[in-house]
Amino acid sequence: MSQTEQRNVIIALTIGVMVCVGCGTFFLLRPDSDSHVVEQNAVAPQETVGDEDLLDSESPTPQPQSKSSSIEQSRSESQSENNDTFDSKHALLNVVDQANEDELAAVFIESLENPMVFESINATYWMQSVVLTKLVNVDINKAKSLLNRLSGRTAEIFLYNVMGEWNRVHVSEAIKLLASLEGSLQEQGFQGLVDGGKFLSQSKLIEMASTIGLEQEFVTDLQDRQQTAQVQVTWKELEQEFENIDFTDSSNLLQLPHTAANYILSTGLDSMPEVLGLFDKLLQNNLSDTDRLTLKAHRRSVVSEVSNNDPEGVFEFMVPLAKEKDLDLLSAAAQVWFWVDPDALWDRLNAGDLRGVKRKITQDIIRYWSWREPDVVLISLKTLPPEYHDQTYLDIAQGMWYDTPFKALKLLPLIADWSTPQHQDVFGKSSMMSFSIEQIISNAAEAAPLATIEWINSNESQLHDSMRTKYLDDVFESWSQSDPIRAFEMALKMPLREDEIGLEAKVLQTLVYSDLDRAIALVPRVRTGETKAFAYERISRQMAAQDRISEAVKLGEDLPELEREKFNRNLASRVGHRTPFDRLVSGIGQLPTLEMKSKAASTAIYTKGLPMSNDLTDSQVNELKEFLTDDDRKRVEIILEFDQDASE
Amino acid sequence: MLHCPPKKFLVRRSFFGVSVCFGIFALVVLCFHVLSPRQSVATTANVLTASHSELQQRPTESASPPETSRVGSIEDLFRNYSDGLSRLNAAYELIGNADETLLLDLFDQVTQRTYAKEDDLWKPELIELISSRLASVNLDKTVSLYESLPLDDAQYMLYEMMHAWASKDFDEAVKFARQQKSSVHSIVLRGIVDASLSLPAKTLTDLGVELGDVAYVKRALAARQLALDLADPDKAWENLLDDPTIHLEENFVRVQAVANALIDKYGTSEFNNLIGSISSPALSYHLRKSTLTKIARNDPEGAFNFALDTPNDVYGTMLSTVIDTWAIIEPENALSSVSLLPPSTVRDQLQEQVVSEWILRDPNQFETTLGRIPIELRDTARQSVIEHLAEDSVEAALKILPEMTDRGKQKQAAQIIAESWSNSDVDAAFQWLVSSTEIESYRVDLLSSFIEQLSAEDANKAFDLALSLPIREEGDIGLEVIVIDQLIPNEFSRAVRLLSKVRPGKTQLTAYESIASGLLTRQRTNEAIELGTQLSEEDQVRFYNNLAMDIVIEETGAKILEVLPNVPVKEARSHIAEYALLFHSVADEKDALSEEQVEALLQHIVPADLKRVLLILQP
Repeated sequence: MSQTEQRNVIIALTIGVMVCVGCGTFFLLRPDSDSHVVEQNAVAPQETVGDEDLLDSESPTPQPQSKSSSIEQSRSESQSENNDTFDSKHALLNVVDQANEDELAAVFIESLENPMVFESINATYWMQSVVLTKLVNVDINKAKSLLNRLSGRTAEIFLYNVMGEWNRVHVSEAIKLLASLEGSLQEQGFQGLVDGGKFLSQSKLIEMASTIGLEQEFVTDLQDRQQTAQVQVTWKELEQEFENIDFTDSSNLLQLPHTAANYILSTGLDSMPEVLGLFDKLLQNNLSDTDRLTLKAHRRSVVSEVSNNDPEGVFEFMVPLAKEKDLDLLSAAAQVWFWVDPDALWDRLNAGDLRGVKRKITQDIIRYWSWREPDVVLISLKTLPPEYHDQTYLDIAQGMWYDTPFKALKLLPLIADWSTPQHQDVFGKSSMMSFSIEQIISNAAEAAPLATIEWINSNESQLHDSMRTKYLDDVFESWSQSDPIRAFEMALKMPLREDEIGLEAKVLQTLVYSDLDRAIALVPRVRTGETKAFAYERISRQMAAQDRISEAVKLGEDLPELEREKFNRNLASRVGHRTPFDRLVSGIGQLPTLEMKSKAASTAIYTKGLPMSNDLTDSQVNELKEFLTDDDRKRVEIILEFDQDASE
Repeated sequence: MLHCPPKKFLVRRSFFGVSVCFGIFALVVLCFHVLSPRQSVATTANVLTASHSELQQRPTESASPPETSRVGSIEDLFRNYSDGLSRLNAAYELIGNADETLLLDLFDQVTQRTYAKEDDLWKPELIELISSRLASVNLDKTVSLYESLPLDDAQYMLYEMMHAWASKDFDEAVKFARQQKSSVHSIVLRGIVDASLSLPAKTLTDLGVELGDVAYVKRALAARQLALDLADPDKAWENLLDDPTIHLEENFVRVQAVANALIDKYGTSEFNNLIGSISSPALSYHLRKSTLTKIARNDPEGAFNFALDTPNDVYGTMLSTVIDTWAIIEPENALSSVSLLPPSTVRDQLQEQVVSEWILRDPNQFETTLGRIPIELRDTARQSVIEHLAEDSVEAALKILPEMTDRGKQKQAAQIIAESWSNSDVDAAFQWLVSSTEIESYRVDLLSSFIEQLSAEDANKAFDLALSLPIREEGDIGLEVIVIDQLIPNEFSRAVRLLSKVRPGKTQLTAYESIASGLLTRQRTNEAIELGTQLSEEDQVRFYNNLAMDIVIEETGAKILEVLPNVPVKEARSHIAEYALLFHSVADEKDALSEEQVEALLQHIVPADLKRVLLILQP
């Protein structure tokens, strides 16, 4: 038995049973093979002969019939349908009133796939609204989960329609459902309630909006928009709207591109340059950067909106126009065209006249859609030229690195050669890519450092050893800013590879800037060897910067002799860079040995006049010479003589 | 003048009469053909059927006593029914069975009755319902009734009245419509258009323009088009593919319905043809998703295989779509198939998805179901059940929490419990967060979230509770700062008032920084700078250094120079000046500082940084 046959039998059964129990008006439920619709369709085309605007001109089985009689018949049908709809609704209410949660959910899901369960889709929306009404009372989460089966904009359109049919007596359930939703889904649902026309009182609507959590402004904006959408502006009125633009009135500002696009759509593409000219005129004013960006975005929106019905036509129209004005506008048309027919767009972009702009437009398209519809772009990757696939992955990852950093990470191994060191050494494009990758990893580390470390070490990351080490460094750097103590503890557990500095020292390197004392307290736990020397050195630098030189010297005493000597030399050298001069001298005074004082003083003399160092006078140099050992003094004199000769 | 009923209508009536026999016959056929191959098949129709026959046995409000004995008047609707759906159902029953005389009587009852505030929307609803019946029985009477009533009530008769009128005589209905107040044009239009969808689109659109709601006409015509499409889905699909606006979101419902009809007609083998015939990436994606959902209901394994074939589905979006359905109807089979996928995060997520749905099929059978779930996935199941239980039975949810071994999942579950509990009993939830040993390792995180959530509802209480929590280690920050941060965007003065109650040390310093930042974004820079002077000298260094960048972002060059002398920390003054000069070096000509301003700012740079700053300023 085919599915269609199964379905027919099931529906027939329903009809029968419904009749059996006295609710038989369910005969309006529509089996696929029901002749009713076809029969009704057959009526309509008779009215449409010779009229291109007629909706029913595509009807499958036109019947010879006189126009007047067909109209009469359809009217009469319409009247009886109205009665039938009453009965159908009654029957459905009977069932829903007594159905349990699972049954309601099943009805709802089925009706999503077969919206013509009733003859009119509005009746189906009404049915769905009744089912949701009941579910909201029984288990609102179930109602939400059913809506969640629909994605993004589809859910919004659906909810808009269902809310439009919602019974006014179940308004509390509508409010409850909408209040549990968020963002544009909530707003679209509410707009459906408004547009449905069941709630005629503005005060009632505002009260409902406030209970849902929407601003009163939102409702009035909605109603204004409803009114303005109906009105076709003249050129004068449009000009006036631009002249009176108020950048603080966001709702009017949002409406502006729609009004402009509507004007172009109603008057024809030839009006596009003039309309864009209105934007350009405004852009010449002294605007803030934000207002300027807003205006440019709205100008692009006009082109996008106009492109929706005929992207290719608008693209061609924009080619000469965009070259003169702004490539962004051509990109806006191309973005829509790509969404409709990518192959046709690539063919066109390969033409000679667009050679110079092809790359920029392609990049714009990829960036635009990657950020807005990453899942669609991924699955449609084959529609993009292969040489742009790496950029696409990176753009998508960048678009999601804030909200879903781990989804972003998952894309990195798909970038060709991402795991090898070559990205690090090449300037230009590759280094930009490297920078972006580091940002993505750092963001993931900030959100969940342990999971990021686990991922870097996993096979899934497909990383070369040297890159693995580098990215682990990045993770610990990021983590040490958000939670240095846990980062330090974890770093101590990471294996210490030969010739590498332990990650705990890198953590302390960051920690010294935010909490030097805590870094000092932790440093004795750092593993010995190069790692320890590195950590002590980084801490001493910050101690010197904070005038805690004596403490730094004391800290160095923890180190073995050879490392301690190096530590002291570095500390002295750092003191030698201190500015201004009196701070330099005070620092030298705090150094415990003659050798260290001499090292600091000679460093100051060697680097005098260089950026970030003291520009010493002769008397200051002489003062510093007092700190020098004999050996250092000889070396300094030679250098000074050499400088003297060079300057002469 | 009324027309004779068309032949088709009579056919329908006779169909009504034979449906009893047909139903019995179909029941036999259904049992044999439909239920045996796959019991999980569920359609609107069979669900309605099953539920209805089953419901005949159930004792419910509307099942006993018999409807007719319960509802004889409008008053009965309100007296006998408190539940909205049952009352509406009873209203349909009462009105549907009424003859003209009774309808008129009911109408009087509706308009003359006094309604409680919570029932005020019943009046328009009942007026509309009665009008719907009355208009088909006696249109003239309905019109005269309409004209005799104040518009506040009468407007609710309009849709049904105009629908009936336009069904008989479009031109006369339109003529009448034009005479009505513009405030009801939209309702009038809807009634006329819905009754006249077989008329030329242009006629209806023009009427839409005239009566001020073209959008409604468009929606109505689209709905009508859908009905036509489904009568011949093959042709409709061809037309859709030729339509340059096929990709528009508002067309998706139509595309989806036609595609579903084709799948019904030709079977799932049509799937690849359908998807492959679409050039729009977005439409192809959304249609793939919705069609897979449809196929999954009857052939989940087949749908799963189609989903596996999706190119470059990095996140398993299509698999997840199938699992959404499969996990509900056959969770064990779904889990088996998912477990056969190669190890990956996608596989892990899908497994969790199945388990979550599975356990929630019947949360009361939690223990039994848990035993059938692989050990490594049981914490996922527990987490789902806890989320489900938390709203109605915190106690039950708390019992399951200690059974969880995965700390991450346990923390998420505990967070859900805390959130739900705090909605019903803040004090009890707080007490649990403070004292439970189970949540020791992540207690601070949960308390922070709790205080943050409570701040939005009752900031004073949140603040008091935060103050009652000890600051354990020196350097830790008291949670009262969270309350202040939450208040800053919308209740700034309240946040400022709480500042004096914040505990000293790092907590105070952090709160001061937050308030100062809030002052800066409100262009109250002088106050922000003044605020810091109340801090110790040591804290002032951090306070002003942290403020430096914000000041430069929020203020103009002139204002920066004006406030700089008021900043008591030399190092911070230098930072502010340096940032301002840095911005100047990359600014457009119109935003750049004057030479005098640059010179004045350079005076604030500490000597150690001067050379670096001068390097930045070099052209």
